[in-house]
Amino acid sequence: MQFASCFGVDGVSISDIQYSLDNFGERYCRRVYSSHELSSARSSRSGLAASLAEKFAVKEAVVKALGMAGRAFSWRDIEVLPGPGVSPLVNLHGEFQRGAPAVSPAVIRVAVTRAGNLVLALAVVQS
Amino acid sequence: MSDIQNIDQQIRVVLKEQGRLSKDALALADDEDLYQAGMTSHASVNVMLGLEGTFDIEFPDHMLKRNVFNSVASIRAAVLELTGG
Repeated sequence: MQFASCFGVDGVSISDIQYSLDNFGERYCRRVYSSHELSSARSSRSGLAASLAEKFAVKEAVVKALGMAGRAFSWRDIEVLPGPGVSPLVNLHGEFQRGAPAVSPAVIRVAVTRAGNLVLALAVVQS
Repeated sequence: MSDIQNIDQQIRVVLKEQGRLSKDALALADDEDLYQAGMTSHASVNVMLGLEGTFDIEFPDHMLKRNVFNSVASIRAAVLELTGG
């Protein structure tokens, strides 16, 4: 049996994501999300803003779980993609690989839920 | 108004428009913690994009960290570095 080492949680409102899309457009998309994330979000049945809200909430939850909040990083270095089941899959790149070399996608567990306009994400890094 | 005062004013306008602060951005102390004043991580992304548009700069990855956007003073220092001021 494995026990969780640490966790992070975050909530993002879908309307905030829509605001960013409306006001900053592709600049926002390119700075925060990888091309694969944008592709999966644009084809998501929940809609672009809702899908990106889920991804951002997961990114921030993972940052907190890894204790990386004070480090310099690109949001694109945490890649959130559809998983084989209901939970997203997290891929780490760049600074997150350098800062957490022992962490693989298999040991980052993520759960996401939505309540109206709010998306909540929980990330657990298992030791 | 000096260049620094002008920069500060523009920073505060961006914070007012994008920061989702619970306090008046125009009245914040220079060293007041913006995250404690209500700025979320996602709002800090909008602040970054707003600053880039206002000052015609681009924050490099090594400056994308929490303490750069922590206060008006820290943002000012970053803007001055990127504008060569």
